Amino acid sequence: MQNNSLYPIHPGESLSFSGNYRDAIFGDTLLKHPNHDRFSYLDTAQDYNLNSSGYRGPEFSKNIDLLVSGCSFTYGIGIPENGTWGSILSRSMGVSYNNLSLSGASIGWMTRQLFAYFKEYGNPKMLICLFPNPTKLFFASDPDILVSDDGYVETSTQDADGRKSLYSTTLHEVRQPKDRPEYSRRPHNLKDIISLDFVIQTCMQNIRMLEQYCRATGIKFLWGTWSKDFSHMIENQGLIDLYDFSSYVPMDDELWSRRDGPLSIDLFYKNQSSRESCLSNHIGKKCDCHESCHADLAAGYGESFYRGTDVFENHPHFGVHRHIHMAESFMSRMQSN
Amino acid sequence: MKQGTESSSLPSNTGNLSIFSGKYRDAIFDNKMIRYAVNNRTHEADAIQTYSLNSDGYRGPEFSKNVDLLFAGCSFTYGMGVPEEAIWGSQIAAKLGLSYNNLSIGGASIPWIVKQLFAYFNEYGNPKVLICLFPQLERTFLPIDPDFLKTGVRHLERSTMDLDENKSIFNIDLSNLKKNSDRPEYSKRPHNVEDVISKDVLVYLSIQNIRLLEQYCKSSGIEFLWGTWSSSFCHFMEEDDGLLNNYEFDGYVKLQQKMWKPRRLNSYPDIYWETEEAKLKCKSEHGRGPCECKSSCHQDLLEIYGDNFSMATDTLRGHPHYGVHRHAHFAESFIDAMSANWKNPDNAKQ
Repeated sequence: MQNNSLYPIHPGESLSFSGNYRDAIFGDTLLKHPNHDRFSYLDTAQDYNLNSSGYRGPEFSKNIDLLVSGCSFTYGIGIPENGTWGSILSRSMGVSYNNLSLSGASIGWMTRQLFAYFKEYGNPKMLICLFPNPTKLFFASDPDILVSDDGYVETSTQDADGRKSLYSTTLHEVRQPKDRPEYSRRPHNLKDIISLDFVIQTCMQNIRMLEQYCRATGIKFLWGTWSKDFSHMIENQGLIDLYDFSSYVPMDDELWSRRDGPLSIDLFYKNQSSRESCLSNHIGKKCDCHESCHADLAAGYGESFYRGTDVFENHPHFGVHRHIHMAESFMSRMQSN
Repeated sequence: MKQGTESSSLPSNTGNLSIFSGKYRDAIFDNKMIRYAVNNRTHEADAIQTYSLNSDGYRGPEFSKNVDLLFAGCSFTYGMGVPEEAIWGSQIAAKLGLSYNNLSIGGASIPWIVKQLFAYFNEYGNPKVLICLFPQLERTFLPIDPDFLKTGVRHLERSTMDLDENKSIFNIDLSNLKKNSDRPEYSKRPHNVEDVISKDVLVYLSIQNIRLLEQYCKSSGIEFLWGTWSSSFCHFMEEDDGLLNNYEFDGYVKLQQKMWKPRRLNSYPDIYWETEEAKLKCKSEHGRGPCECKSSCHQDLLEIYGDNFSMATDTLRGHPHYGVHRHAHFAESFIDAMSANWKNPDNAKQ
């Protein structure tokens, strides 16, 4: 689209919105990624078949049974599509599903996309989200004022000049106030300027809106998070006792540990005592413990059962084993409801 | 919900980055409405009007479940300077015989309005009709961490303060941001919001909130209409290559802002022309000088409200508010846009 919309801000000066940037901000349609090859070229071990909208899994279709949404963990980096938790869950329940996930996605991106999906394809019967850390922000850049140095540029949202676009950017490594630079030069780095409070508030509000949407429309909604920070805040710091988090599903993070490095193997303990026993016996050494659950599936998935082939240094992703357990957690809550 | 008297912190690789406590924590993490039991933001300074507030701190009737009409906005919908029954939303409810609630507060931003609406839906159920009069896109609802940011253009929400009264969520109006080229090249922490925030971010947040609300209403069977009193937002929507001609905005209602001319600030009367020709004729006759033209419409309201007909008693210098006359026209525009069954009070309740 070549048109340009100008928002008057001062006499003789306007904000410019053009191209896909304008569509992404003002339109109400799904952001599509038909040429989405953000990382598949880095990970040749898996076959990342995308549907015509640029998302992994089946073609989007109207009034699906199960819609899952998330970031790279739900997209399934490093594992075959049939090993992603959404796919496992749909097979276990015998229902149709769509997967609205994108690597690097923030809660803001997910919420925007989910509402656009509802509009285009109708409401699913069930919606399950695996949220990333609530310290990612989906925001609009202005290269003259405010930029991000490590965001995921949504290339499908760039303006006609290629200067502006929407980003999902992570602020989880944002520094303590006292450690941030005292002075900042324009264009300011988002990490120096934006307070974590703002990002968390935005994310929480998005989750609350999704909850209310699902409540009002009869969608069964569950959500969890792979982020230890987020789950710790909810489960261990008491938010779940203070506020209504009835849609939240714990992912039993404490029963998993990981080796360091990009090829980390997920280790699962069936209970806390087996975990503590293993840690005490192997502390400082390699730990080769692995519970035998789901061993029947290990052969079918090969190495990807234990670990995701990871293309991002220092940000390893889970293998199929953990996806199975996440699917079980959601399934268990669904059945108990 | 337990009273927010404790703290929660977010762990991270670098330790505890943020502490949430008190009503600040409630406002961020809870799914309840923000209430204003001691909402005296504006009426202390407005001697003429009597602002009766319900038990949640909002003007108008007590909130109740599944009301017919819910309207929401900022001070224009709160009805600064005009009697409660003359607010545009109250006029609609009275004309159509509908029950109503008014979820508005002075200085509200679009993100605040939408957050509050979703919380209202959660607590009181869905209304049958929702009508919003939005402010400009450059307002936002922003938690302020005083170590990072400060602002001089704010409405401090006291009902969202943390235990130390150090943090809270602000509705801030950034419509007078400096040009990009005029902003300081360097900024010192805590940064002035006005120096470092991009308008693109504000526009995006506001529009996306409207989109979420549209889809909610569409899926929930709520008839949703909205307009704006902001001339810049209105222009952006309605110009030849504006948003209306490029995107789907089914619920948007044109409020004929071009037919109004405000006089000078603080105590101006609104002047209304019923036609474009009358407007041009007046302009050519009076130029920039005083214009004594007055529309003859709604003379019955003039008799009732006197000076309040053409001007509101305004307490915010440099930001005048509309009189009853313009509220009456807003009400007419929204009623015109409502689906047919609402226009007949006999059908509306069925």
